[in-house]
Formats: sequence, C-alpha cells, structure tokens
Amino acid sequence: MSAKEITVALVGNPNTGKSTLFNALTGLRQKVGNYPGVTVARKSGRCDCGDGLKVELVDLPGLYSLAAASPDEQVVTDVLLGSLEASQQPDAIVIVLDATNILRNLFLASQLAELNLPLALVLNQADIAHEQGLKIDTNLLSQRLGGVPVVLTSAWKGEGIAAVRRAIAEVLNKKSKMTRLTWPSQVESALNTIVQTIEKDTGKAPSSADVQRILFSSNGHTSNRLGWLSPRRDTVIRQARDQVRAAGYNPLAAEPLIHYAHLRKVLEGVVVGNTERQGNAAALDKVLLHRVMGPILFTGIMLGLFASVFWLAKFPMQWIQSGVDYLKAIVAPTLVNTPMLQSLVTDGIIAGVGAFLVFLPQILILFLFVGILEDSGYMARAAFIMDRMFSWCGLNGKSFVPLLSGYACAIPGLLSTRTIEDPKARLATAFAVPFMSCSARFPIYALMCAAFIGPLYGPGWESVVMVGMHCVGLIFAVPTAFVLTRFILKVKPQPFVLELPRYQMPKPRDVIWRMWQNAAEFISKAGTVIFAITIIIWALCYFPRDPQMAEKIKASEPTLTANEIQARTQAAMIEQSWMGRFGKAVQPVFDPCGFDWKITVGVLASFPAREVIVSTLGVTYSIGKGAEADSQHLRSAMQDAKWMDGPRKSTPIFSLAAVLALMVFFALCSQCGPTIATLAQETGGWKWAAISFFYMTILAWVMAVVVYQVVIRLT
Amino acid sequence: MALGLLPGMALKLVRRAPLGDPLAIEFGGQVVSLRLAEAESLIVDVAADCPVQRPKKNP
Repeated sequence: MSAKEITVALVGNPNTGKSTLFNALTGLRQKVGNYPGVTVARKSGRCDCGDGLKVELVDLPGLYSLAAASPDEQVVTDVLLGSLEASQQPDAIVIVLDATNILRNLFLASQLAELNLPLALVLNQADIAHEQGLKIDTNLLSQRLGGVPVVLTSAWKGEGIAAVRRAIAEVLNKKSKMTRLTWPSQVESALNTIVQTIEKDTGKAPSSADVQRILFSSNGHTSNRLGWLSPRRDTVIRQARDQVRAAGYNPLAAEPLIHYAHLRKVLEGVVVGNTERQGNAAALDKVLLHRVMGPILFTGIMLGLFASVFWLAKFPMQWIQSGVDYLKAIVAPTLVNTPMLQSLVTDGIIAGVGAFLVFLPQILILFLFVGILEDSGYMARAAFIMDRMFSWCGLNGKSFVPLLSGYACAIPGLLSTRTIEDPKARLATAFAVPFMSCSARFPIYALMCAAFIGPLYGPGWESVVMVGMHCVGLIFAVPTAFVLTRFILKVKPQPFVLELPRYQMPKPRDVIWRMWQNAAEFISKAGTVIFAITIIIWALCYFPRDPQMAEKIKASEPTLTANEIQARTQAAMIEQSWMGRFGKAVQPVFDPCGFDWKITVGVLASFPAREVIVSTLGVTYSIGKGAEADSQHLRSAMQDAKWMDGPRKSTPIFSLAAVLALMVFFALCSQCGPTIATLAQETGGWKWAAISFFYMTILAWVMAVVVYQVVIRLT
Repeated sequence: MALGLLPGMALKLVRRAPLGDPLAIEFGGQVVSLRLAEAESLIVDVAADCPVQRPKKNP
C-alpha cells in the first residue's frame, strides 16, 4: 500500500440520501470515530472504485452552506480546507445533490468549487425527479461546469452506484475541477484587498475559499484560524464590505445572491419540467401538520413510541437479568475459596456490567424508532409542531429529540444535541436533558410505589405518583433553561430555520446500521465508566472487613438460622465498611429529608450510577444481594424499618413524607457518572458539567427537604 | 439565504404550526420552517393572485 491513502469526501445538503449512498458505496465496511478535539462523529469506509483502486470515503455531516453555524458544519469546513489536525485534506470531493432541487443543492457545490479540489457531482433521488416529470441533461450540466463528472443515481433503490464508483475513479484520474463563478469586479477587488492584507500581515497568502469566508461570514472563525489577528483586521474587513455595498449588495447576502444568479444561468436548459412541485409532502402534511390533528397525532406517535420502548424492552431486559443471575450462580461456587475475589466478580464485575447491560434493549429500541422517524421525514415535522412550546424558554424544536431520548437515557440525549445549530439552545438543551426521568430512575420509583404508595393508597395513586415522578424533572428543567438562556448566557438568539423534507420510506439497512453505531458509541462511553465506578463502589462497601463478624453475631443471638446470620452479617459488614461509616457521618445532612444512615449510604453509593440504590437498599436492609424492585423481602423489611433513636424513635423510617422525598431526590439529583462525562465532552469542558452536577444535586436536596417537611406536617 | 430564499422570489405560506409559530413557507420547490421573528424580517408584497406573495427585499 502506498504511504498516503487516497481520501474522498462525501458532502451534501441534509435530506439528499447521502448516508444511504455512503452505505451503498462502502457496504458497511465502516469505521466510526471522533474528530480530534470535537464531538462530531467521523464516519469513513473503504470504497472499491474498480481496477484495484480503493479509496477511503469520508462521510461528512450534511450542510447547506460553508458559512458554518453548528459544530457539525464547522467540522465539514475544517476537513475540506485541510485545517483540522490529524485529518489530511481530501484528494477529491463527491457532492451529493437532490435531483429534485438542483438549484439549491448546487449552491453548496458552487461554494465548494472555490476550494479548487477535484470534484464530482452525484444527482441522487433521480427516481423521484423522474416521477415528478423532471428531465435532467447531465452532459450539458457537466459541460457547463467545466467537465466534472455528473451522474444520476437512486441510492435508495441501489441504482447508479457503479456509475458513482466510475465517477470517483475518473475524478481522481483527471483531477477535473468545477468552473468557479466570476465575481462582480467590486467584490473581486474587495476579496483581493483582504488577500493582500493577510499576506502582508501573516506572510502567507490565504486560499480564495478562506478569504470568502472572512468577507461573507460574520463569525471570526476563519481569520482566527489563519492567525490573522492584526489590529487593522476589523477595519480592513469593514472597508472591504463597504466596497461590496457600493456594488449594490448587502455584504452578508452577497454570496448567495451572486452564486444563485450564476447557477440560474448554469442550469438554463439543464432541467426541464416543473421544479416547483412538492411531491407527496403536501397531502400528508395536511393531516400531520393540521392545527388540531397534528398535535393529536404527534402526541399519539410519541406515547406509542414511549410505550413500545418500555414494553418491547421488557422481555430482553428480563432475559439479560436472568442471564446475569444465572452467570452469578455459576461463577460464585467456583470462587468459594477466595471470598474476596468471589465478591469482586459476582457483586462487583458481573452485577455492575449486568446493571448496565439491562438498559441496552431500551436504548437500541429508542434509537431504532428515532432513526425511523428521522429517515421518514417526520422528525422535522415534530420539531415544527413543538418549536413554539420550546422557543419561549430559549430552546427550539430540535431540543425535542434530545429531551425525549433523555427519558430512556441521558447519554444518547446529550449526543443528539449535536444537531442543534444555535450554541445557546444547544447548551440549554444539554443542561436540561439530565433532568429527564431516565429509565435508571424507574427501579426506585417502582420499589417505593410497590412497597408504600400501592399498599397504603391503592393502585390508582400508585400510577398517579409514577406519572408525577416522570414529570418532576421536566417541570424543573424548563424554567432552568429559561433562566439559563435569558439571564446567564447572554448570546443573541439564532434564527431557527428548518427544512421540511419530503416523506420517504426509511431503508431498513440504514436505520439498523445507525442504531448499531449509536449503541456502540453508548457502550464505549457509558460501559467503561460504569464498569470502573462499580468496582470502586464495591470496594468501598467491602472494605474493611471483620472476618469474625459471622461468629460474633452467632454468639450474641444463638437462635438465628444460617440464612438470617448470613443476612445480618452482610448488613453488619456494610455498616462498618468505609461506605457505611461515611454514610453515618453524612447522615445529618440528609436528616431534614427524613433519610436514615442506610438510605444515606444508598444515596451516596448511587452518585456514580443511580440505579445502584435498589441493590444497596437491599444490602443495607439485610435481605441479601441482588434485591429486585419487586422483591417481597425488601418491601417488608423496609415497611418494618423504624427509627432506632432520636426524636422520631420507633416511628417508621419510610413514612409517606420520606418516601416522596426520596423519590423527588432521585428525580432531580445528578447521579450518573457517564452523564457528567458526556456533558463535559459535549459542552467542551468541565465547567458546565460541574455547574450541572452541583445545581441538580443542591436542587434535589432542597426539594427533598421541602417535600419531607411539608408532607410530615400534613400527615 | 443559503436555502435559496432570495429577493424577488415568490413564496407561499403553506401553514402555521399549531401554536401559530413557526410558519411553513414554500419557495423554490421546498418547504421550510421559519419563526415569526425571522419571517418578520422579510418584506413581502401580497400578489394580486393571493395567497401567493412576493418579497421585494430580503435583508
């Protein structure tokens, strides 16, 4: 293999079927990673272009223009300009266009032509263009654009893929470049002025693509990257923009105006037919975006999605749980001679990994449904319907998907904030996501409802409390986002512009493949952290140990059965472990919430992963390990638990007030190590992760105190 | 503007979202969602053959 691998970048507008084409070209031989220093996923794959020519095809996020707004778009610009470390400039670009809307799609191509790289055009969705009665003269288009290869494909149907391979080979061979537009003379001279000044200031002539970004885009990203920080920078740019204005153009609108005027001429006679037609969207939108029917259907779809995520995942979750229990039962006897190793393997490693794996089915199903909704074109409609509900508090319609995902797990929710262009709305959404009642909170709600609310107040109240707990997070997240965007992040609001694409049947291969890629990212991110944390928590609950504990208990109460002794021993062990001592020391802090030291231990042990609470309560209330939420023993042990001393002596620990306070605490508290780590990564630093952690934890404590103190006075 | 909403272009208000904002606007063979705040910055002439409308200038 040659020293330098040939790379080809796949670029295009969103909704052009680019990912489908990428999957068809690479046949799922793909690598997914991250670009260094940024959170945008780097997807690449090997594409065979015939005659032994193999290229590395890089799938870049979809974008409309090089004037970068979101982190995704920034990465595309940086990759194509070769300015991202550890990522060489591609040897050629393949631009994917929507054949039904060539003019708009060519705008990006025309901007990309300024990079002066060899490129080829792929007019995808040709089947739909054909159905709409559009006739496209690819030879004429190729000729008008300076001889770059132009091919018609339908990636969805798998038609024209071979032609794309040939086009890649051709473009690499001939290095054909697309004709660049001729700028009006004043604009040209404004661009030249900037080139000359930068050359003088930095000693290096910038590329024409860079100069256009400096002149036409209002963010200072490009000039910073070129190291053009001279004090006269702003004056020079202002003067150049004045020159553009003198030519009769608004400087920030000149670029699209000039490109579109140029492209209209290019397309004359290339596309024959009515390009104004909307295809299937209008009829479906009449129902799905109807002022009354729209929200009803939306709610129905979301409730259905929600219910099926939980319902469908129930079965594989049970299998995983029994698989884990089975594994423990097999492994435990083999290590019976080394109790410490036995405990590490069964209570630490197997239990920890199992607790994490149990959530995988929900996450896979969620990704599957989100993928279907996205690929079908409904997700954009959902954002359209929901935008007003979110815009008042600084979020936008696109915040909806992350918040919904947050109900299954915060991590995929945080990862999906990447699609939000507005940095302020993105941060506020990321801040709100961990408040959503994720499925790891479910076991504690289930335990509390089954043990206390149900028996005392009946199943009706049980479901009311259950639904209520799922709303608590949202009730606090929305005002938080409002305060955050209104008073703390004083950034100008960004426009929210969203294309409503045509509806399309999702392609199973694409949806399943993306589900798997997202799940793999989740596993690598959450899995490792949870694994490490479980072992630390295990150690804190295991050491130090008194080997004579069982003997002492037996001596003090000779009437106990062997099982009772074992349970008492475990409880006593945890009481004198580091975690138990720490819990007793910290208990006064949680006393106003009505938590005894055992609950405190559970709360503390749950900071890395909140689902640990149920098994910790199981251990501290001495009913043996692997306690499940429906375990009768744990329920009765907790129902019988009474305060041993103090002013509440011999009243039940789990009063209604304490039960509600505990649930509210878990609803609001930031108890998830992987979420904090992901939040830090997605917001570009530990600052927001730390703020989120302290804010949520303090809020949880305050609200638990309020609930406990109010309810205890009412009951 | 990258989406091709340019001065002098015909555009059509397709529908409003259930809460009145944002708007779905059709131009150049595509439907795009715009918030009222952004749509306000469009200067629109109502054409004789309403509901089709024409913007004069796009800042």
